[in-house]
Amino acid sequence: MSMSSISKYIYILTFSLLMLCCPHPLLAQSNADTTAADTTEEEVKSPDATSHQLALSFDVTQPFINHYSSYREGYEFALDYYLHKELYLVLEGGWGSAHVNYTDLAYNSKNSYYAFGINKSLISRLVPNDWDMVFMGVRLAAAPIERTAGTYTVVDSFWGSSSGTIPPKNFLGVWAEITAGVRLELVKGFCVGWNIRGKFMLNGKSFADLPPVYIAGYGKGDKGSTFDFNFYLTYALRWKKEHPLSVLSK
Amino acid sequence: MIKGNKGLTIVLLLSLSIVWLACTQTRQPCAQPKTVYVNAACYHVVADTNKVAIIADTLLPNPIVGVIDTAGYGVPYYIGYHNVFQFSMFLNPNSDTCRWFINTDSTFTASSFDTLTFVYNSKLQFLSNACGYTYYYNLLGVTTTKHNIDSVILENTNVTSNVNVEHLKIYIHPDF
Repeated sequence: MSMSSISKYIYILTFSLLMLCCPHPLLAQSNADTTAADTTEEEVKSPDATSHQLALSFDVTQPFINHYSSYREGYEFALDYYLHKELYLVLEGGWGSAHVNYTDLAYNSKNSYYAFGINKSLISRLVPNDWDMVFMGVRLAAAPIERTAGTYTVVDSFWGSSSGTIPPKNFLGVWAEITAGVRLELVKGFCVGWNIRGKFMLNGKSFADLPPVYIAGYGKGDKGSTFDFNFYLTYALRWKKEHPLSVLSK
Repeated sequence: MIKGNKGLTIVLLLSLSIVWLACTQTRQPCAQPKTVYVNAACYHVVADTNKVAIIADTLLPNPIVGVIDTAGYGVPYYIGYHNVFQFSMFLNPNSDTCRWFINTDSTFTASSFDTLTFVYNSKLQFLSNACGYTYYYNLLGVTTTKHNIDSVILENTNVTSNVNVEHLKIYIHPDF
């Protein structure tokens, strides 16, 4: 395992442990609100019945990685809509490119990607304006990928090196994801959150011949599974639900 | 809305992100061998009872094994090793034949050298973005001279990065 992979895993593990070990206000709030909810059960409306939420998220780690990386560029966005019973419909997308210019391998690639799935909040909303969440989710994603012709050199110090060209290729990458994360509202409508993701390529055979070093939304194209994280800044748009009877009365 | 350790969490997250980014390398190091080998092992027929051969591993006491280059010169590759049972040979990706020589014991004369001739197809193989490309081979046949080698048997024709495969059994002459 490479140094960067180890660092990445340590980072995710450390942050997850911190989140678990820190006295978590979410749980405290949950307990406190439960007590409150028990005593005023008759007065509190079901959170589902009161408002809609559509949240747009931008992965802020990508610009940082783009800045420091010499070979890749990517942008990732997510859109989620609250359905009901702590279930969110999620659409994700983005684009990116990779530029490989090693002495023995050179090519360029670019792709966009699209994903859909659901998030399930593990903690019930107790009041209508509580949109903080700890969640798990699944995704199905696809990415149309374009790779230019690649040039390679097989270095052989005894027999002599040989070079050649791999023809360009357009193909589709399809993968599944499982994810878990947290989203917290800092000020009204503005949230931060992180996800960790396990991604599993479903059509790995398409990648047998010179897979891109980086696929936006997935990661390393020559790996059958990847582990990733996102740190999102989110703006949530909310509006009230109309009660069915109010529509009739108009 | 949650109040509490949010500021600390964000600072920690950004700090750890910077550490992670600092460790991001331009290219991952290649963690697998880029040259593939034909793995050979030496055997000896020690008895033949009721037309059933009993075969044992053979240790070559002080062998010299080398490759014959495109100009026809022998280049020793294994020399100074003792009691050798297994050894590996690489092939020429720019040709469809390749020759290796084997002297089962260095005390023998030059005329006791045996030559192994490999005939094969090569296939370009992608390893990873970290390692680039290499060549895999499909062995079509192996022939040998018979000074100290009795015969050779091709056990596995696919020469890949799998180092645990024995491709070639070399039967040393019973008189050796």
